Amino acid sequence: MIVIKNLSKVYHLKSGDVTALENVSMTVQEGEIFGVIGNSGAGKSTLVRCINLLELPDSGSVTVNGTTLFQTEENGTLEVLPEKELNRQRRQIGMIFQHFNLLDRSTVFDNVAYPLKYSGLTRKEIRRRVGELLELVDLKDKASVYPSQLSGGQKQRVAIARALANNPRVLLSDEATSALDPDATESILQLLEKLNRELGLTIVIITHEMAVIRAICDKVAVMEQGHVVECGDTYRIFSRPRAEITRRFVSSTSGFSQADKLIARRDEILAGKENGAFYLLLFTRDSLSQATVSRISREYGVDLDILLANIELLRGGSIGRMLVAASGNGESIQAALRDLKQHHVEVREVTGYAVD
Amino acid sequence: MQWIESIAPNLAKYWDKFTESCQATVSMFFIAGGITFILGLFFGVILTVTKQDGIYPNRILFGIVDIVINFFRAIPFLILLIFLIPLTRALTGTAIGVKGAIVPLVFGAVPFYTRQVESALAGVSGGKIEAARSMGSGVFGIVFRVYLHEAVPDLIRATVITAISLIGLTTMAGAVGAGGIGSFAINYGQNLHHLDIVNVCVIILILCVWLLQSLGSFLARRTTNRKFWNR
Repeated sequence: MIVIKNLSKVYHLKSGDVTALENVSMTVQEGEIFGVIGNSGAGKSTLVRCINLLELPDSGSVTVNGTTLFQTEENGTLEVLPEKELNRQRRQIGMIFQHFNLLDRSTVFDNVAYPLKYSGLTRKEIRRRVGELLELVDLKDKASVYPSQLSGGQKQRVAIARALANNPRVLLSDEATSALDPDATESILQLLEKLNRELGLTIVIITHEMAVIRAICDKVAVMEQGHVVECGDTYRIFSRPRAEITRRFVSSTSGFSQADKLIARRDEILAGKENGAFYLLLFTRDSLSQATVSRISREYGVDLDILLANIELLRGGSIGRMLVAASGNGESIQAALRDLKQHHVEVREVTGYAVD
Repeated sequence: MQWIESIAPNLAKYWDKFTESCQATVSMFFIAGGITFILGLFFGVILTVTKQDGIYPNRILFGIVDIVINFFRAIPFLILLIFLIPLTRALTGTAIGVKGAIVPLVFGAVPFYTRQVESALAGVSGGKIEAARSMGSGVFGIVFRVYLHEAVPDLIRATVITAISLIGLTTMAGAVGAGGIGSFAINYGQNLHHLDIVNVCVIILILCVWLLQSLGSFLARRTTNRKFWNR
């Protein structure tokens, strides 16, 4: 479990002060995959680097697995664990990076063995442990190969094996899939999910891609300009984003941002339709898979022209979105809409010329 | 011997003097080179570690090493030779011969090599350092297991460049009485109008430089993205 309290960090640059973090607090539960999303400069990388103290914050506290790495005392000074103890704690927190950061002059075996040197294992035990780790990340036949001979996805697997060498309870992932192609991204995310499921590993994922959050995160914190603007269950964030930036992130992956283009052509699309109007329908896990649209259409004699629709699969369930042009008898339409709402479908009439 | 007599008669005449000079150059090169290698690596690591965004920033230590190195780099070697005579005498008891040349050679080469080492270590990406820190490596772990380990090809190139310039310095030291191939070429070649001696000295120096450069390039290639010995 990771508890972050009132974390603040200001960079004093020649061009002026930049606030990277301002009073950021969050709690990551044991065994959770926790996503932190934000645009570049939002402070998410600084946040994750404060968790294992690669960067020293100005104030606040971080507790990992019950050990407080640093905290602000009452007199305002920052109390940090002594260097030796801190290094010991760091070995219990694995970390992977965007650019892998493997040692180019070491084989895959030696890269994975790097942190084991501090574990007091014998050479034989190290050899066995590295073998286990390489098997875990599916790279058993690459032990004597150098990083330059591996693909990006394979390099990240080596980095994951290395990060897990000392059996940490927590894995920090800083944009670990951002330099990978879509296939490699997918396989790395699946690997992370497997590690979470099989080892009960707590994972903190920093990313700017909502697709990564959607694929594996249980919870997500959205950051903007050093603040957490929204934090909660991934399903809730995707189905009912509150902050403006969250909405932008959600629509960027759902493909539903295209709706604006259709809405702009509303008059043209609705021309000649009786009582024609645009509606946005949101199906959550309570209302999906009930054949609702065809039933409504049949029972109320309402024409529903589906202009745009998509369903997203999240860890916590599916979310469906639909833009429809409804037409028919005015009262029937109203009755149909009431029926939809009764079945937990969120209905919103589009009156303006954009989704929001 | 007859073969040498036919192409370089004057060299054959001063053959003993010639081998003695070669030996002097070789000893100056290896003694000064060995000391330079150790001190240059040491100060290069100190600069890298203690700089402002290094792994153990120390403004005072960095400042002192930085200033001293800039000071000695700014002095032309011939003037350094003269300038250091009192120190050389104090340290080795003499300011002439091979013994007297070692001190100025070290002072001439260490600052140069330190900067080369510093730049080679700067080529190790910050990401690798960060990864090592995240795995719990301390200052010594990072220096030996990351910086010096990953920079080997660049360090080899830096060492070769310094070694070649050190050969140049040994011949200059010869000009002020340190012996060696440089002074042999001037005293027995140029001053006695024995052009064959000058030519042979030039060829020997060219061969040495070529050999060093080839060896360095080979080692650098063999250690890029891999260990030297591969199981």
